[in-house]
Amino acid sequence: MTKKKRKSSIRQNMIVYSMSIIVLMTILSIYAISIMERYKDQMETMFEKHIYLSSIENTLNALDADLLGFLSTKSSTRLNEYMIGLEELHRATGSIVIQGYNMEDIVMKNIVNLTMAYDEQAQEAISRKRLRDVAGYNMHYEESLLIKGFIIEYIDDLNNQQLTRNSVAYSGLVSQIRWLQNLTTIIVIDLIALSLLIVYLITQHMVKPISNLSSAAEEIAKGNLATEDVVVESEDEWMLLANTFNKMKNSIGTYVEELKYTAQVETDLKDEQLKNIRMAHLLDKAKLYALQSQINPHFLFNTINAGVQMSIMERAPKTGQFLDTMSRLFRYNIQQMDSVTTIGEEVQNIEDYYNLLKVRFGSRIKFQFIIDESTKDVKVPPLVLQPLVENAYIHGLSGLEEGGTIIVSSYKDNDKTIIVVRDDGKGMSSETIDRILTKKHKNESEDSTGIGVRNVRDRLEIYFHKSDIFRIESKIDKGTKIIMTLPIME
Amino acid sequence: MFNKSFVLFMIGVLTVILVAGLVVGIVVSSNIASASSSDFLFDDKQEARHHIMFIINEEDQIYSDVFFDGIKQAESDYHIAAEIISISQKNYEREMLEAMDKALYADVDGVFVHCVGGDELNEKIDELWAAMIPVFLLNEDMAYSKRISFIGVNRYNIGITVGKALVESMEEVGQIAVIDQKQSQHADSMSDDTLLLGISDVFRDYDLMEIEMVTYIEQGTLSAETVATQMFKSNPDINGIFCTNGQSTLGIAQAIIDNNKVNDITLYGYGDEEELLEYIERGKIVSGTIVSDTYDMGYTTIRVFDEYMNQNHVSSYIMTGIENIHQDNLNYYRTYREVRLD
Repeated sequence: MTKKKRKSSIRQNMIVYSMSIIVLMTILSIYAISIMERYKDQMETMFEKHIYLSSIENTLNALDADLLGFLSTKSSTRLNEYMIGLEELHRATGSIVIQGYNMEDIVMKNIVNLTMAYDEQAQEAISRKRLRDVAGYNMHYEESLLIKGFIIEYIDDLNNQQLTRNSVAYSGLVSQIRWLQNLTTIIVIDLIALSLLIVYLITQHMVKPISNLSSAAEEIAKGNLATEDVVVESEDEWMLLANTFNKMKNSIGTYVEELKYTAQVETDLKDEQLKNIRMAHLLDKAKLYALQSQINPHFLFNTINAGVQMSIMERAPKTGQFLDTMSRLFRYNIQQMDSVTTIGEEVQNIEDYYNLLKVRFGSRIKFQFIIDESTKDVKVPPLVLQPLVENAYIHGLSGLEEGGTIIVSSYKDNDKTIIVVRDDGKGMSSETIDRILTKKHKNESEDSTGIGVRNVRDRLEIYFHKSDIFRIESKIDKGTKIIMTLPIME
Repeated sequence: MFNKSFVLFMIGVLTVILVAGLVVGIVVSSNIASASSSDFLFDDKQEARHHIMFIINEEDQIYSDVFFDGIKQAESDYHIAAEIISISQKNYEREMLEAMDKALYADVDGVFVHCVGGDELNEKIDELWAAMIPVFLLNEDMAYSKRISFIGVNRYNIGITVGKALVESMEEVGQIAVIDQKQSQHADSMSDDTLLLGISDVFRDYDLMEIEMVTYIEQGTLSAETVATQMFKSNPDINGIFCTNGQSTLGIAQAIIDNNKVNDITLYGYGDEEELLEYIERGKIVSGTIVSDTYDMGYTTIRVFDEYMNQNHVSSYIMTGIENIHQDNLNYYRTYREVRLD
């Protein structure tokens, strides 16, 4: 949103809101001034005419006194005063606009006409006085007095009318003013409420975006980049700021996701390296175990081969077969531990192992192989069955005079290959199983088969990249069953 | 805290209240400003074209509210302002002349006067005439003056109407007393009084009908009661009375009751006071009354003035109608009067 495209800006909004308040206050002021002006006009109307009429009456009385003074004494001073007063009277009546809209206008017209008639009679009286026509000036003076009486009568009549009307108007005025006071109170309260709402709207308009932005900023500061975008409805700088903030937040989110992904990749890589290191370590340990527990297999292998040749020369075929089996067993055992073999080869090795045991222990220890043909080609690390069979023999059957049976079986279950080594010996307690699978014993030499079983388990887990491959089930006096659930390798 | 829509709604409502309050306030204050100004003469607020002055006897029942209603209506119709100067019976003549002076010096456009007087009044009318102020006479005429026109009831016609009504009510036999207002006593003899002349002209055809006596009294109930009581004693043969004033007729009716003369005397009155009409409705005491159309008289004054101002000439005598109201047409008259007043 560019500056030009914005419909409004904070400055414009502030101007509009401020102007609204100013206009409202101006309206109130104009209203109050207008009402006061009307009151003033009213008061002036009520008394203006009364004052004006009173001044005419006073002037007329003064004129009459001056006229009488002149007629009595022929004093030029009184005549001058009379002339001055007459000017004043003419000035006063000259300002009257002759109209005929109401009876007051008619009476005012009468007053003007009577004033002129009074002037004529007075002037005539003065003229007659100058001519020393006593009867004449007396008659005209009497006429002027009569006219003056009419004027004062009209003035009194008008004043009475005004007084009556003003009395009525005053009563109405008082009740109307009271009513107007209540109305003005309502208007003022209304204006205050209106102003407060406008101020509230302004502050909401200003504060809400800031509040939203600050809340979103706080969330981001806490590390929560998944907050919703800040929404500002007004199309002004706040919207621009909110949009920019949202863009910034989303950019940071994307960057953090990228960083997380990179870190995950690195972690996985390190894990892989670690597994490889552990694998190597385990292989080294197996080799060490083999070296520690057995004499040099090559030496033994060569020696056994010499024995085989000697038995052939001495015509002892059973001894020869025994040594041949032993030779094959040793050959299988000395192969590279990081190589890969099959279940079939593993089973063959166990059969060799069984034949040797049979020579040693006769038929006290029996072996049974239930091998599904489809499982024979499943690839497994070498020497995974032998340590388990040894374990079955040592922990299960070695102490039993009646001997026992070790059953090695393999089969497919959906997408898994299951290998089971089971004996019907004396079984193991859960502590023994736990000891075999963990490193709780202090001296590894105390339990070399435990090392062998753990080694098998660890190698299988590393090989298949799974942790739940190996399981031991055992019951005291019932036997032990070691189950390996191998996933199909691509 | 508040929803924005709610705030905007409240702003709208308060703005409406504010505008309404301001408008009402301005209107009310305008009313205040005009509270003490005088009312317009006419509904259409036009200016008056002429200003005329009425000089009347405030105690004469002809110049009742109905008369002024007629004037008011004509004022409005012709845009003429009428200034009314009501003078009491006491010193009427002197005050009437002063009022005519006032009209002269105030330079009014015309004068209507209920005149009483002789040469002095005649001179005043001439004076006003010289000042180009036309004078019209109401109800009392001075035919030899320079008045423009006479407007009012014709006393001779009243006499004819009353005479016929009395003949009918009294079945052609009766000794009649006429009780008139003192202000009307300006005829030198019975033959000069057109009212009495009218009655006499009717009675001429009936041998047994005659005017036994004529009495002039002050207006008012008490005065009439006193005069009637004395008359019953001094002239016991009188069995018919015509009184030319409504208030006085009520006094005479009371005297008839007090003197136990109900059914012995036929009373005819003048005017349409409600009490008088109630007597007629009940019968026995007051047989009927003569009423003049005072509304028409009031209206006619201004119509005639306007005609004169436009044409510079009007009829010298303008008579307004009279009616004989008795039991048979009383309801009709009342209805007619109500319609007129509305």
